[in-house]
Amino acid sequence: MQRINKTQILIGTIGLLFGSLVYLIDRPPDQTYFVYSSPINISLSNTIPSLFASIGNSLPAFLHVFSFIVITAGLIFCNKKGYLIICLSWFLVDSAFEVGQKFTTWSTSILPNWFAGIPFLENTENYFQKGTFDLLDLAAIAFGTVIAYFVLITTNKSKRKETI
Amino acid sequence: MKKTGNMFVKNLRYLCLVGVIALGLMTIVGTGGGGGGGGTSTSTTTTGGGTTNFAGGTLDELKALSPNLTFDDLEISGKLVLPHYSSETISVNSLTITSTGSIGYTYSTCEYVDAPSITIDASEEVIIEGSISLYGRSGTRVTSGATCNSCYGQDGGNVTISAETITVSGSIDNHGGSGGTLVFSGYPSSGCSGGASGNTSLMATTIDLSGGTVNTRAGSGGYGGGGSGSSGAAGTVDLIATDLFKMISGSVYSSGELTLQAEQTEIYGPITYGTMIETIGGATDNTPPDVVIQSPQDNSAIQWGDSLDVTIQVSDSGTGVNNLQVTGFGYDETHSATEVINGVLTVTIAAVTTPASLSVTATDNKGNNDTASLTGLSMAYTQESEPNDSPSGAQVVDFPDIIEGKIQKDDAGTDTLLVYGSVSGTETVEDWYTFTVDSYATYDITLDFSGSDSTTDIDLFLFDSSGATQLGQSYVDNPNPAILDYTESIRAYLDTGTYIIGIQAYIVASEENYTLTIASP
Repeated sequence: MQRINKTQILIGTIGLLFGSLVYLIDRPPDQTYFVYSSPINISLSNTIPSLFASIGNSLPAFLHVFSFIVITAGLIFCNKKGYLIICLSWFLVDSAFEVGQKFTTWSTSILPNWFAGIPFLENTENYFQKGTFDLLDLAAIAFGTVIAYFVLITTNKSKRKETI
Repeated sequence: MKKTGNMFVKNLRYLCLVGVIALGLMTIVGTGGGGGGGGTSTSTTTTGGGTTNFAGGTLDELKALSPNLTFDDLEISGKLVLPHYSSETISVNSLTITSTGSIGYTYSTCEYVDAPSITIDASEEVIIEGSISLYGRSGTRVTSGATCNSCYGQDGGNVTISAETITVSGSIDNHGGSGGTLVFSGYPSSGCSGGASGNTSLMATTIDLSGGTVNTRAGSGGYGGGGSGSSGAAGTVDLIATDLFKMISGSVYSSGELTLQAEQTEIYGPITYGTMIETIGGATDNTPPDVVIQSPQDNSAIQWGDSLDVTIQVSDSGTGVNNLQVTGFGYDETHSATEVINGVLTVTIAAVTTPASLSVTATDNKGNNDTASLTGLSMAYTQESEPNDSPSGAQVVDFPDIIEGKIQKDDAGTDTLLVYGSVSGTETVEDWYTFTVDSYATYDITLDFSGSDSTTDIDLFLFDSSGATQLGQSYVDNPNPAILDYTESIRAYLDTGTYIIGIQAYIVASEENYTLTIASP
């Protein structure tokens, strides 16, 4: 039976945790839904100095697409073609959300009303209304996708060697 | 059965996959947007007996209870939401903001406005267990042409409280909002300036900030590839107590000028400031803290490798103790005064090493400092205990440990097969020690001796727990004029377990003292 690729899942999880540091340390707490809606104060924004400086602007976009590609692939365990499909899917999802911030009116108009009051979903309107479209974010998403693909290829090779 | 198990695992994997995809979408939405500012509780209640309980709501709702905001005793147990740009005064005999209560403000998604200000004028007491949160909203990332967002941090509001006694175990936070980043597509982004901090003023006969915080920082400038924004203007903090100012385990932060006046103080906590103007008991604070090391005491012999509790007594009659630096026995740490309990700081040094010295420097909030040091300290080592002449009779020592022993050629010992590289032979090994390690790691075993006789040559061996299998060796030709090195050392990667050390007097004309060290690198 096909097994999960623990290395890929671990790499993805580490990327995800690293990315969350941007929101906990560098971003003011009132800018991030999961931080300001937390029942306890988890923000370190006013406690410790900024870690990421200007790179923190686009780092989350890079790490998000990278991490979820790697985690998804780690669960599915497939070949290069499958990796390409996973990479393309997450690239399109992340890019769509980013581009949605440029066309705020249209993005918010297609949101169903029942999102309101549901944790996380309730922030979707804010996400499109307040979020800032940035070409650098799109570039970071593309870069993250490419890097993730190479990581998948690399970690898959090592796995097969071990198996042999 | 196996097929059923495989099916279960397969379904579980699909479930995980769906979870990951859901998490991916949630984290996109959950890390963007913003618009936090807190909700508004809308219930208000009053109770009799001169005490008004306000369970939360807008300023208008509070004014509905008293149009000119004058109360006998007011208790705020929910969030009092002030409108933007307001600057209100609440007059009371006493005011309590409970742990569930707060004074703050809110803003809609597209509102970027400075925080309001509040003045509390109490004839008796003000107790703040909850919070006064009038800090400026932070700027966000903005592309050119955006209409809803603002890049610049907003200003914090002013907080002014006067009363007979003021007790703050919660927080007063009126820092300036941080600057955001202005993004130009195709160009390096640039940081925007932070908001100005509000001013904080507490005036009373007695002020007690124990466990509380005052945060009056200026907003920091935003980051950008093309340059960072400037910080906002610094606010001021006035702490004016005509009698006592007390702060134990609390903290005060001001980016700007901080004025501290009191007849007497009891402060164990950091006060951070741009400049400080202090008058304690009618004089400026040029007196350092008074620090005494209660234990250990002068002339103590401390066992190497053991843990050591250090007890320090400290006090300061001026601006209060800020921190204590403890140095010695291989330890060097700075402790915040918030760790001091009833004037005593207890520090545990996990494993004592050299040098055999101990000093503590206490620094007050004005930068005055005092150092207490112990004299006549010495390091005590484990002494060799004869007979330790065989693997089964090996002396049990600790890890880490330093052992002082003596050896000579005609000491009793055990004939042991020793391996010297490609050569082996049976030799008498005189001194034996056994130790236990509890983790797989690298360990250093070192033997030092003086070489008091020019021909002295002592060798060092490491065996497994039975003493039968040799795991390591060091047999330098010590007296060789080209070497003249009276040290033998073994670096070994050892798993958890017990090991035996053998020391052989290869050539020892007269009794030789040695020091055996078992330690981590």
